[in-house]
Amino acid sequence: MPNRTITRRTAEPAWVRRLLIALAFLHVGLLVALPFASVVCQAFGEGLDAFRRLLASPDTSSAIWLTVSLALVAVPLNALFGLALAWGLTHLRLPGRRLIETLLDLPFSISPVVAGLLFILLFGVNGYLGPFLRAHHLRVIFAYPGLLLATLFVTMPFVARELLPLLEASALSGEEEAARLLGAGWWRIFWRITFPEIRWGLLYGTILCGARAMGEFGAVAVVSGCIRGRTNTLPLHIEALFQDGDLHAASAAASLLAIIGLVSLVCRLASARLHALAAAQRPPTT
Amino acid sequence: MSIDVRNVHKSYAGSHVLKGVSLTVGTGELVALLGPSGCGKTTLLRIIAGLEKPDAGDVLCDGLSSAQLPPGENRIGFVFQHYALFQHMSVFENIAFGLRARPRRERLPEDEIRRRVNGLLELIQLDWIAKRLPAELSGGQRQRVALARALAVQPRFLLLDEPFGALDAKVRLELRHWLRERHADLGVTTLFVTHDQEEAMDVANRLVVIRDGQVEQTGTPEQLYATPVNPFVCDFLGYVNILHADGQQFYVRPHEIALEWFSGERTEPATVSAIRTAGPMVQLELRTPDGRSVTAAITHEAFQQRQLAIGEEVHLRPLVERTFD
Amino acid sequence: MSLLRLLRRPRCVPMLNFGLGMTYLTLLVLVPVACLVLRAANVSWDECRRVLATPDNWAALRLSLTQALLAACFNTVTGVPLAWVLSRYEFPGRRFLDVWIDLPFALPTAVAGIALCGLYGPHGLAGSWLARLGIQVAYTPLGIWLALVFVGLPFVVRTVQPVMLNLDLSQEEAAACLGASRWYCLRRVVLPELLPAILAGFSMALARGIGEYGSVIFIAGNIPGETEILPLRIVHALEGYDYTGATILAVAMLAVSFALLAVINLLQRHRRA
Repeated sequence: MPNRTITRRTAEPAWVRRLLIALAFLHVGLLVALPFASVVCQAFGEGLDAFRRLLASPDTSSAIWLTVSLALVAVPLNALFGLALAWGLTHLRLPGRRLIETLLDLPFSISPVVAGLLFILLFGVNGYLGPFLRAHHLRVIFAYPGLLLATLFVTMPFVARELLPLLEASALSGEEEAARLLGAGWWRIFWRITFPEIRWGLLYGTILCGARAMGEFGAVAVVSGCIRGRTNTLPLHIEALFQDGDLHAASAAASLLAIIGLVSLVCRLASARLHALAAAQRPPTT
Repeated sequence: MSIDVRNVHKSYAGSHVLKGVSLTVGTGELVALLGPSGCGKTTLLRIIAGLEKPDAGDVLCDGLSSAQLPPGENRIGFVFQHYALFQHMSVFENIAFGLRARPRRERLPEDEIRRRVNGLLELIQLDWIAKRLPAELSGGQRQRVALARALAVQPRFLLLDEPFGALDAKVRLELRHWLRERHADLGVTTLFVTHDQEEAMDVANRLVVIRDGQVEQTGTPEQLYATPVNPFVCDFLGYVNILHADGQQFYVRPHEIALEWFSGERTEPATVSAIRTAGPMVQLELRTPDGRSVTAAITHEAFQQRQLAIGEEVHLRPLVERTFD
Repeated sequence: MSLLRLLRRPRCVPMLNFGLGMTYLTLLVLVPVACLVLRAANVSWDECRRVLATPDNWAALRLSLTQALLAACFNTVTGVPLAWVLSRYEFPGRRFLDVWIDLPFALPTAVAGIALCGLYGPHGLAGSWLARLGIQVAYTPLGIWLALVFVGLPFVVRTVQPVMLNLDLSQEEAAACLGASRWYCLRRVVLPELLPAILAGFSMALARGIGEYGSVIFIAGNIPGETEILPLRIVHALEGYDYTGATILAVAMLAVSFALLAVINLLQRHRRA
């Protein structure tokens, strides 16, 4: 459209543009790209030795396994309940919706260390439920349940946050009401009308949730106790290796973990592309 | 303060929007650029304003090419289709913007700016809402503020892009007359774009009809309405029927049809299919034997005399000889 | 009434879903947070003052706040032009640049920590070069600032960018027609439109900076009283089973960040009024 083109009267002078572009590349390069490249370089600094050393250690394999198993439990739970919450919230005209959304955002806005602290205050030795747990020989803190709770807490908002605007749009579009008037039940409406609208958002939210579940450091560090081979997740293992002074192995572990970040980036791109495609296929509304 | 557009070409992404447009707007004229949507009229207006560059051709303002002038010097009153008011500024600040934006040494003293803005607020009869934000105004009020903002810099000419497009019918009618009166007061050379022929004929003293990036016809509303040069202009400027009589096609408006009792020279038979008596004229829907629909308009007196009923057969005779061959 | 009939009632299914989700949210978020508040409510003022007055704690609080503020300011000043470049200019590599912006979001914090430490550490490529100029990054507040700039980079860019893409270009054209210079137009027309988004991005970067842990501790060196950040003090308190101390520090941190956010919110509302 002619109205969206930037014309000579609404553009900065060419030298300003070039300068800003150069500065943008410099900024992102120095701050983001270079550190990322350096960690990969460091990992391969000794050829493949660092990886070999890393993977040979039983502590590493147990850390990887622990990290993956945490994500495998946390992601479906948060996806399911996040979907339920977001769907309920957008399909009921409830007072206090803002309050609930604020509560939902809380894990994003408080420090991960405080997130860990919350569960220690509940389940720790001097915590509210501490005596009860001790009496029944149950361990939450410094054990798998504590790690899981901390992971669930910090990754709770991802799916619900991603879905809220999509479900809102779907609820307001009138398609669902039209289907209801035609006699469709909730289940059918959800699968036939709502789900196709939100599936990419759901996928993306799930991937973000998974990436964060595997990458979480602060919250998990507080509740894990960092017992190598038992409660050390992969991110915590990086710190342990770093403290040991083995920067190469730590970098190798970090590169493994960075793959997760890259996967979520690629998915972000793909979902944006798919979204644009879906929008292009839909007939314009006006 | 004349505008002279010379053989302007423009294309966007391979589509040729303007194909050699030439037109002149004389000093103090009020000219409408009229055409269906997508005909390139807005693009032409933006080129005249200097917002876009023509691929070929030139725009002369008072004999000077607009491309030669630095943007700041080339002060133009441009009223955007959706007004483009500055949302975070009050009505007063919006109107004062152009005066305050000048380099310090050319800027008017503050009390002079206030005086001038207050004068404009009085002109648009909105001095009582000077402190409000654009979001708090009605569509018609926004339109008037946009106009005042454009006039504040004392532009050499005024360009308006679909100035009444976003308003409801009643406000639109009021503002049309208001705009015509303001033009009569101020005498600023004005060019406005519209796709509404009625609006164009009501407001402008000269029309330029554009189709597919080319000028079809230029002239006063009366000239264009009475003597269009081709079927497109004829059709675009108002409802037109095509009558087939004596092997010729006559382009006639509803009120240019005579209803005869008998078949004769240059008549075409038709039957009455619907009658609408509400309104200044009686509208008759007629159907010809080959299935075309024709609308005729006759006065209430004529209708009373004729006593027409649905299903009755009449013979249509064009009152004007308008043919295009 | 049979269950099936019940499910047909118009509000029943959303209620059921909402109830499930809310129960989960309550158990996972509300109850733990309430416990923290309860715990904090039982702490006496004297105790509170005693914990906060500890030199190390006080230094950590100040350090966390200043560095987070400085980093958020830097990210705002650089983030707005960055978003402008990405949303307005066409140049080769624009999409590529756009993707890199998200990396600090996507990368686990421990990886970010190692990466920054590897590059800007004493033996790192940039670190050794800067050391020759007499600038030490690692194990100084500068290193903490750098880590916070890294993790906060996307906030301002990503909140401002969509607003820039939705700006009504005709407002800028109107300003140009009225004779305004480009710079005047950017200052008086564009910037005020962006300001709410800029403030929102700034406050998000700030909140993240105050609480950030993983990416900082690698490069900070964690020298007590000098480069120990507040979240690390909490971890240390917990390692000593000092739940009360940890609670006080956590509440102090939350209070400070909420107070800052409230001020920013007020500013925003004040502007709109």
